[in-house]
Amino acid sequence: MVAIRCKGVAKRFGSTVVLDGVSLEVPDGAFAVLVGPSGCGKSTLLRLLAGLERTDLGTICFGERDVGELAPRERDIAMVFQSYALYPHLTVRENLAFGLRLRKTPKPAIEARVREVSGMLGLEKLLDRMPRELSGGQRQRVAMGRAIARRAQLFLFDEPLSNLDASLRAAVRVEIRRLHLELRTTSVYVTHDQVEAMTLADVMFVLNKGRIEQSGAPLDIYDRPATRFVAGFLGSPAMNFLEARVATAEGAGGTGLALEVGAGASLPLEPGAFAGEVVKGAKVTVGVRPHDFEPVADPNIPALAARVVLCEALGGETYAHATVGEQPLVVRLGGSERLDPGARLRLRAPRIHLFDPARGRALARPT
Amino acid sequence: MKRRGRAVLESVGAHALILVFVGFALYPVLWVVALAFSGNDTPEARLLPVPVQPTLKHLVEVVGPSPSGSWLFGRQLLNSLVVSGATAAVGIGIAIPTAYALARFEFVGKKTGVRALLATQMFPAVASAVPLYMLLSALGLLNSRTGLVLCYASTAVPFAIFQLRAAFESIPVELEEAAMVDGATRFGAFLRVVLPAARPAIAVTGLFAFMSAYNEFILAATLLGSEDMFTLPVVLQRYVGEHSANWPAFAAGALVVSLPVMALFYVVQRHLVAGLTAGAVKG
Repeated sequence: MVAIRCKGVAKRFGSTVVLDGVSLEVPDGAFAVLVGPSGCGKSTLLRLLAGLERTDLGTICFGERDVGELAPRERDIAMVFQSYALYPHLTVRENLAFGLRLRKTPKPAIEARVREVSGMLGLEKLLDRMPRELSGGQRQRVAMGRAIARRAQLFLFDEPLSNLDASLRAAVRVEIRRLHLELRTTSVYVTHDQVEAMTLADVMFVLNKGRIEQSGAPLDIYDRPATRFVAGFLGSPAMNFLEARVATAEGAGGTGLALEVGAGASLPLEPGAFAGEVVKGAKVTVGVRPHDFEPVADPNIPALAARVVLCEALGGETYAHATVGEQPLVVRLGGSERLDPGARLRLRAPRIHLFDPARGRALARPT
Repeated sequence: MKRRGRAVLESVGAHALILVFVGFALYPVLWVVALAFSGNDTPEARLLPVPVQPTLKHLVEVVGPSPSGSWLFGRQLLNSLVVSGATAAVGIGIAIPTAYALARFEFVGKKTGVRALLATQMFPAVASAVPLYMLLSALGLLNSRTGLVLCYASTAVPFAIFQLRAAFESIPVELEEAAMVDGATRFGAFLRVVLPAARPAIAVTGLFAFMSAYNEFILAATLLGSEDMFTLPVVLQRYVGEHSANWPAFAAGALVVSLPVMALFYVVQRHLVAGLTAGAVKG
């Protein structure tokens, strides 16, 4: 187990800047998740940690040791690849033992370790099979087993669940979390799936265009996104963004302020909806999560007027797709609620985020 | 009942059709067999390829000791096996590192090199027979197995490189990366992971190199002068001369010559099928 410290790490391929001065710290024993859209540089960062690529600039330290110049085999790491990368000519047993044999571990110790790991992952009956005789889920478990068997000081995961179907993915996700709680090995996990990121991470790093947009505990980031990008990336369906202007409004629920959204519609600003300062007349981007909208029945209460385009009923909940002027909006409703296309929907928003429309920085967050 | 009858009928029909095709393919071979074991010296046209006055004398004539008492055929068989085996070994030995480099690395001159290799494939080997003769003569390698192996390998290598490059490209880079993370050096990863994964392709490529050398006639006939250096195709050809043709001996020789290749095919057939479908299935 080891802490990781990256400082000013930069990497380019040809003229494409993939990582642009990334600094991060992962505490000893933590499960860190690098999350971001494809092309954000998260996999490259993982490969730099593994030593499969060299940094152009910056330092990477495992504990006190600078590993920048070390080959992968000298870094004492184990990695689970997206394609699993099981050795096709070796049985499951030999796959699990491969790294140990390379490190000249004595035979009885290898056997004991293989037994222990296969017990941990339920691979006992598969030990003499070849990788091609395994299902996707089984291959995935073997890949994990191969990493665990080595007892490396750091585990690296490169989108290990993306080749599994949805139900299996959820099960393996829980399994990975369980194993981490058991082993407590420092882990870095790359994914573009926000559910994986939210559920697995002790500490999460949201990457965008080769930079870290925000880092911290997953729920903190979810509740208090530092930028419009992070706010839009986390959460499903994504946060709604409305371009608006801060204005005074009568009867606007006590603050005397409202957000003019255009087309005559405005969203009253409620006391306690956010923390932070707003300047009257300023242009802002309003962010509201679909579940933070509440339909208003009383016509005397000021509310944002939207027009329903269609409803998606998922059973437990219903998502209404609507528009305010030209701006689209998704609102979560109760599971049994149905609205016809064209129906009017009046909404209040007790929790809102405000962003600088030009630079995307958060101006005000929900309290 | 009706359905079962139909299935049986279909099966019989399919097998009959297959039998016709097998017969079509094997008919010439059966004729060679019949000829090799027939007692009459001049072949005659008949419908059924069955030996007339069955005998082993042609086989003995070809395979048996020569009048001088030495076992010339044994030496010629050895020539063929050594030359073909060495061609395959040299060809594969040169092609593996070259193909791996072409498949995995970017370097100056890569494109030009590949094009040059491709260009060598455009000329038939015969076209270079005369220059090769002069080269080997200058090197003192005429009428030697080494000389012949060098010539064969020079034509086997480019083809082997193309075959193996495709094979290496179909092996995911991640396998090597996994091995390097697991504790292997780059060369160790190549040795322990890439080579075993490419084994079917290597076996197939080696087999092709072996067979093309084993069957080659023109260069062998040009570059080898003495009987004790001959390879089997040259030996066979001597039975069918300009003025006389000993067809039964030729047929007996052809059968014996085929045996090593058939044995080799039998040994590597598992790889052959796997090699021909390599890359079709991932993982």
